[in-house]
Amino acid sequence: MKKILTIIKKNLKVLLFRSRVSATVIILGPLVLMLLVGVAFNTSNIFDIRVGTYSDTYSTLSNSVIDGLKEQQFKIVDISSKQSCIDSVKTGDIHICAVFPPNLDVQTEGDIEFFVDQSRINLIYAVLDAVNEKVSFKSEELSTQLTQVLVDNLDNTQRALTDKGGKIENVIKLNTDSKDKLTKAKGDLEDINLWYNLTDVDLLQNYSENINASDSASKTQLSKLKTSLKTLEKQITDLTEKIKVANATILAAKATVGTARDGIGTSNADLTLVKKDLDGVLTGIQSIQVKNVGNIVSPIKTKIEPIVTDARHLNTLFPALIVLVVMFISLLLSATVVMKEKLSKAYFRNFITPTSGFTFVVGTFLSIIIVLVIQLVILLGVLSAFFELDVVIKLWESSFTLLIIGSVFIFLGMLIGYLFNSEETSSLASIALGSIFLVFSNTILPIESIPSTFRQVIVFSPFVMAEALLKKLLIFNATFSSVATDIYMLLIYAIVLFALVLIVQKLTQRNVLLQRFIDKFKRKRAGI
Amino acid sequence: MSKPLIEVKKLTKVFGKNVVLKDIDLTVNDGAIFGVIGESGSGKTTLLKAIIGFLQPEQGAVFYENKNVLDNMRVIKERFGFASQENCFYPKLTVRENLSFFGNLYGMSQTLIDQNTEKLLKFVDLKDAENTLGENLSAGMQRRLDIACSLINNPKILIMDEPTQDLDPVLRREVANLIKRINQAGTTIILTSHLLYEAELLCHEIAILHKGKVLEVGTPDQLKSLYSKNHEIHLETHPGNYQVIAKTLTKGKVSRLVKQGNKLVIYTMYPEVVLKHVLQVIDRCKETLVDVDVKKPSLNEVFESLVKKQ
Repeated sequence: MKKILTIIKKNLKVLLFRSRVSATVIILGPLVLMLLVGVAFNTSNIFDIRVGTYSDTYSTLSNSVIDGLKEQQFKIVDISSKQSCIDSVKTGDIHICAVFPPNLDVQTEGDIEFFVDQSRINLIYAVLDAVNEKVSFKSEELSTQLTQVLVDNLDNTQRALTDKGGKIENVIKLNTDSKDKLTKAKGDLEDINLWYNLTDVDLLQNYSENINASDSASKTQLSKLKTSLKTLEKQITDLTEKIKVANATILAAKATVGTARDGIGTSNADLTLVKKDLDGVLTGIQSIQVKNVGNIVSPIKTKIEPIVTDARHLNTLFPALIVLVVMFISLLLSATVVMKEKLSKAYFRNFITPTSGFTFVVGTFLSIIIVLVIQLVILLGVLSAFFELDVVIKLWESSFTLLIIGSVFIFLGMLIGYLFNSEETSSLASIALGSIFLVFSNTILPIESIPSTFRQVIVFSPFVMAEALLKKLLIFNATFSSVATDIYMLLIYAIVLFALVLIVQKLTQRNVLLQRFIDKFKRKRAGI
Repeated sequence: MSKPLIEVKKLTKVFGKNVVLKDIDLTVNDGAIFGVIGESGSGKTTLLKAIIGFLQPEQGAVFYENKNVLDNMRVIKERFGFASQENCFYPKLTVRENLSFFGNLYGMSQTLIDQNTEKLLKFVDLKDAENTLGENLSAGMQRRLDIACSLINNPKILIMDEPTQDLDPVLRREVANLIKRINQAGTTIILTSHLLYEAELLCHEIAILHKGKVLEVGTPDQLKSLYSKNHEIHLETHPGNYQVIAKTLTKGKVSRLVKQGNKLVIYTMYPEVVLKHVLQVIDRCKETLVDVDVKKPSLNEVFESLVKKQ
């Protein structure tokens, strides 16, 4: 342990305290990096995006879309032809070319075409997203207007139907009343009895004849009575005839009223059915719960919302940025420290002391971890102080995770340091390895854009794993237990790499010194 | 009589197709300063590195106190000190920090490290520079620091590879004195040098190495007696017209004439006769005597003699 502490002390002195350049790079490097990154990405906007537009004939609608784009900090460049517009994208004068159909309006057939440089895929997605958002907004505005008309019509229909429904109800009511009255009239007619007994007139005649026979009353009077009676008889006969006719008429009317009643009954039944149908329609209309036009136009609204509240690029980039810094610092620092040690003249003296390679490896590793911790403290301090980034979320979990992530890359860097023979090649190898990790990760391009066979390998890249792990912890607030598998994986990496470093150190230490000695011997022999 | 501490037996080391060391047999006695001299590329450093077990020989072995060094590396590392041709310390650490660092790597207690550091700082005369960074020391001080680093563990044997290489004459003398003091303090020293006069001054015993073979081993006097009967007359005159003087010398009595700087070196088995003759000739040749010295033959001559034989 004492030996390890001695090695750490020596490494820190050599790295931090005795070399102004090293100390400056180690302390100021991350500071400057963070300040630059912070200033650059502490926003959610995309700056200085130039959108070229072309249309044979601009319409109010296309101008309105363009105005929308202007509002979103895009610089609009009106281009004279479609081909020029496409060429301008190729030359990089503009980032995206939007070609509007001539006289664009809601009835125009044809799409607004966007021409993009796919090689700048990361930018293009962002720009397309922003442009699309503006165009979609306009499109929605138009759609809303159109739908409003439809809904207004529907509303009027509803009101009309409601109104008509009342009237039909009145008709039904009137019909019902008429039916009742007719039924009553029929009953009354049926109750009229015009029948009379003609035998009573005969009795009056008989009685007159009797008076005539027994009383010698004035024949004249009697004759008059007789005449009167005869007149009466005639009148009665006429009346009887009339009544007969009336009776026949009443019978006919009765039949007619019966028929009418039946008709009204049928009509009433029909109207009831109509009302029932109308009620159904009305109920249907009333059952439409969504009356908001916007909702009808876009029943399922899509809106790209950040899954975290703080949508600054810096915030979303934070885990990737930290892993990136940790990776490059660890790789380069460890490779450099190991290489410096290997190339140091004291390497031979270290070799001939009774100190094991394990002690040197552990000492070197811990020295770099300390430097890394110093850098991370500076880095997180800057982020916290200047960019108000909450870096203390899950501080212990994050620190532990970063320690494991750092260990993986430190051991990788040490491995490079022990395998290569010069500072230049080891630095180059470290940068190359770091770049490979960076390129094949989600930081530059989504790994989903890589063929699946290759992707299956890439997901096991320590950078990809580390970035995903830190993202889960810091952005999605995942619990430590939920990311345990990822942590175990990185731990396994660290352990395997540590074992590899020990083996390679053991294998190469003597060889390095021996090769150096042989080279020197050959130079001497050759008299150089 | 001092006992053998290190024995090299039939040691052969090959790099690729180059046989760097061939059948080396050597014995280094306890308490001695043992020198290995030879031209650049003769295999001196290879021999030292084989002795400390860094290089594994193709044949033969090195024994420390009758134990094969390769089987006892832990002991070898603890008991040997090695001062390389290059300064094996950290230039970004101070003198004291370097000593403390290597002391810790030897697993010494802090008290012992502090004691040894104090002792060594005085011993190598770096006390005043103890807080100076290694890189800021002068060349001589750096060499002394390197030697101090190799002594921090109180080694029984100190191996020094060309300890005075690249140093100016003043610094060479400084380091040579230091080596003597280390040896006097009880440390056995094995050193290599291509500066023969330096080895002659320092070493109790010398092995002459040439193209991977030991040509001869012995004390400087033994070697000189064996391989040279000549004496050297070092003559300096003004204006230094040595050609005229040379013409007057009898060929039979002078083995060789070599002009070294402003001096003429006359190799002869009859120094008294030749010197008398030379002093007479000087007057006749109108030369003024500036300096004259008669020396025993140097190791240089022995070396040349041996190499010529090869």
